[in-house]
Amino acid sequence: MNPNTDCKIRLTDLSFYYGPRRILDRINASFSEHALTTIIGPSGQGKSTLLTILNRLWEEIGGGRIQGKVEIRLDGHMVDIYRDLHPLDRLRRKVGMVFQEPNPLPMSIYKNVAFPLKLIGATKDWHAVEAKVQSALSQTFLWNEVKDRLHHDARTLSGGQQQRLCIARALMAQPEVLLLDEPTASLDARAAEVIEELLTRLKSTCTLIMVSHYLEQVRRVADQVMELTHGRLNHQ
Amino acid sequence: MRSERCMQSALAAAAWISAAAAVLIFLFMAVLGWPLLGNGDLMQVLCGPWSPMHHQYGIRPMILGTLCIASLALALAVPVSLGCAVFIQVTAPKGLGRALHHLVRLMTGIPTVVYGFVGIFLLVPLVRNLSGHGAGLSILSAGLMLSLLIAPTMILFFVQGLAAVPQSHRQAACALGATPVQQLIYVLLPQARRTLLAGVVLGLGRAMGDTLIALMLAGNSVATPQSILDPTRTLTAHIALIIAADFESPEFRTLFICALILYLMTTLAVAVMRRLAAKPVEIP
Repeated sequence: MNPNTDCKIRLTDLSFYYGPRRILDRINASFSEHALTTIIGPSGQGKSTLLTILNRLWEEIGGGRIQGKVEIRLDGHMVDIYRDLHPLDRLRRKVGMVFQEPNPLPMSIYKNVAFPLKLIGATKDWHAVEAKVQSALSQTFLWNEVKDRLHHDARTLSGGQQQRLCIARALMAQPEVLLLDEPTASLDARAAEVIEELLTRLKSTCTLIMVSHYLEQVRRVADQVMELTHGRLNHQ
Repeated sequence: MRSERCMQSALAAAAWISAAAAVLIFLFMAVLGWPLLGNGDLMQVLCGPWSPMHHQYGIRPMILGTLCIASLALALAVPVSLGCAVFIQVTAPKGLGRALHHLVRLMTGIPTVVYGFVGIFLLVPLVRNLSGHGAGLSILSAGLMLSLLIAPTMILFFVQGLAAVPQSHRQAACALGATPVQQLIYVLLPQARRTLLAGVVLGLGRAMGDTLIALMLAGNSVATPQSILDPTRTLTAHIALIIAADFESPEFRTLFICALILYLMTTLAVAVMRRLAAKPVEIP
């Protein structure tokens, strides 16, 4: 890996504490651009916490403390997300996240996907919004399944469809990095297979970091595998 | 199985008794107010002035007084309560939010008469000095103090409503880059709408039904108020002041009409709020 061009995310001496408990212990790691890196390891080791450190979502929960450096290449520049004055909302749009449980908002399928555009006030041109919604839903193989019921409540979709909807919603913000916290954990094998295929395709536009417990899945999709145990992140 | 049936019957009985009590109270007031309702004096009672010396028993000034004070109290209390609830539940550091929540709970337990005393000794002189109008006993004084009285209950309702919004929805919005204000507008308020409206109904009911604050701070004038600096008398204060009159007197009979109007106003407010709350929850 060429450290100057291929490195999308760099962690330097990263430690994280919840109260007195050290969750991550002086981690040094690099994540390649346009690659799918999976993080494996036993439960309760801080894998999900590591993801929320990359988009600063842990700060919404509070009670944590961070040390070290987290740099992400955004718009072609390496940004230290905790020291440089990078706006939080912009960071979170550039570093999207998909959670273990699908979390569609209580609104229609269409409005869910268009929600990131609403947040940046880009919903005035309805034709452009419709085109973007269709593109995001097509990208996640969902368009053909929902095109006739775009204005139905998103919560009426199946679990797998909801998860793909959440990925489509995250893609609307055109993220450079997509964090996936066990995205197939609550899905059946068929739905998981569709998501895996989708992730493989997304590598061309995004850098993907996924937490997974399924080693078979990791073997199928991962370009880079890291194991988090006892607060340390080790390359496999 | 049997104990479950017993429990179901007991709960059903409790529900029926509550419903029957509400209907019976309405009937009781309608029957006792019938001598006035039946002989065609209703419009005169509703629209006329109160002047027993001239055999005029109209309660229009009291209806206006009640509406003015309750509306003012609600208009002041709703934004303050919502702001306070959002601060406690969303933006405040956890420790501060918890401490404020406890303080608000404590405020709900303060007797109304204490608010009344604070109003008489602090608020009324302040309103008198600042406005330079009358004695300070006015719609403004009563409305201000009433808003302070109803705010804690509303804050607790609002906090409960905001806390009930699934964390996953806030997290979803947050991960998409929603600012705290956007989370509030697009996620929290729409989803907490039903509880927020219930809190407003409760506040309105309390504002319209409160007797002591109006009695102590509104001035109890039976003249129709022209501005918020004028004194007025509410329906509840009127009932409290006239209750000692002769049972057979026309003054006394009007009390049932006052109670009926209060009952109907509260029922109307609840019906309107329920209609608003019945709409499906969807983020704008």
